[in-house]
Amino acid sequence: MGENMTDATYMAETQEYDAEFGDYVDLLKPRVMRLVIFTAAVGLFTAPVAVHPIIAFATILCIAIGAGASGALNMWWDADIDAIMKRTTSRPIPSGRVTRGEALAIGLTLSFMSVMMLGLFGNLFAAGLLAFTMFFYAVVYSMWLKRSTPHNIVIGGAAGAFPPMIGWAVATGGVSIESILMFALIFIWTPPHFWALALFRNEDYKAAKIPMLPVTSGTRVTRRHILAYSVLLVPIAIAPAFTQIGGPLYFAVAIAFNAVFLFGAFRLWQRNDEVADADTYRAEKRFFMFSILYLFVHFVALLAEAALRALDLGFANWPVWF
Amino acid sequence: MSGIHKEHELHTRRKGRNASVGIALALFVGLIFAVSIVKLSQPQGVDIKAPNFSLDAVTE
Repeated sequence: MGENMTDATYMAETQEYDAEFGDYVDLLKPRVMRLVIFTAAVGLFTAPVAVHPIIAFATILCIAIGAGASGALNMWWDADIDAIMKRTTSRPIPSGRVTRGEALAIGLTLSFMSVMMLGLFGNLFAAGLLAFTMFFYAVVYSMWLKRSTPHNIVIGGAAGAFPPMIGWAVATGGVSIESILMFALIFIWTPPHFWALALFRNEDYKAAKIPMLPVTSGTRVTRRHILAYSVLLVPIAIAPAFTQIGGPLYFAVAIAFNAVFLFGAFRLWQRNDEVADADTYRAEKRFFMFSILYLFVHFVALLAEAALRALDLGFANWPVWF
Repeated sequence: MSGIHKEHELHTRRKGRNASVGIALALFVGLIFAVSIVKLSQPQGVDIKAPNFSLDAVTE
């Protein structure tokens, strides 16, 4: 650094592009954050303990920022493979808008702050659960499993399944069968959802040398796994209907959407690469898109049941088995 | 070296970003204030009282 150089001139000369605020927001994976906000809110509002709206807002914000922080740490760690895959080349680091150092700094700072603030706004159990979720996503999934096993998404899916459990913990201070079932729903839904994506993005994962199931074991095995997990998902998705947070509306939604999901998985199992290539993976893409709607609708139904109970419109004689 | 009163080009360039960070911090302060008001207005549990505080002393 020159004798008369200030830190400002140093920064100006070493960095060609200055990140805008929106680039830092992109680092937090806003689309993933939206899903986290929604599922955490459902966990919080379906819980049998009322939470003040401002506390609810503040704690959901902490959970969302915590999820964003682990997204930033994931982008810091995966910058090399993000630059190879088409789906991720426009992310802030590979596109040159944000440096890796900035991503690490933002990820660590927001991780620490979100856990600390959730502990203060909510309770220590919820904060601990958030810290574990971030550790699971950034370290267990991103750093360890993602590049080492074709079952990366099976175990890593747990990170995305924790938010409703954290929302529930904010209200109740603990864990119960309802929050475990909400966790299980997202956990078992994640593999078929991502394997459907991997089927039509196989070349991307191959190029980045990520051992996704279609890369390591072929698409036949992947299609079989999608069907198996979809079958396993059915009882898990229906079970919340017979808990304190369920009801006839949720039951009806779960039956209808699981029937369509299962049929979609069965169709994927029947198809092979030649058929899929011929129609540019139409069924796989539709299954992937439907899986997003599937999860969204299940959580909307739980929220609707909570609203009905709050308005005293719940079904009084509905069986509660769990 | 230019005069200290002159705004550096870097600061002009980053004005938008700095303003956004400022707004985010202001909202964060506002959130802490709002949560504090809610927490203070809710009934206080005995477990969060100060160690030398006695409920009997107040009610007498």
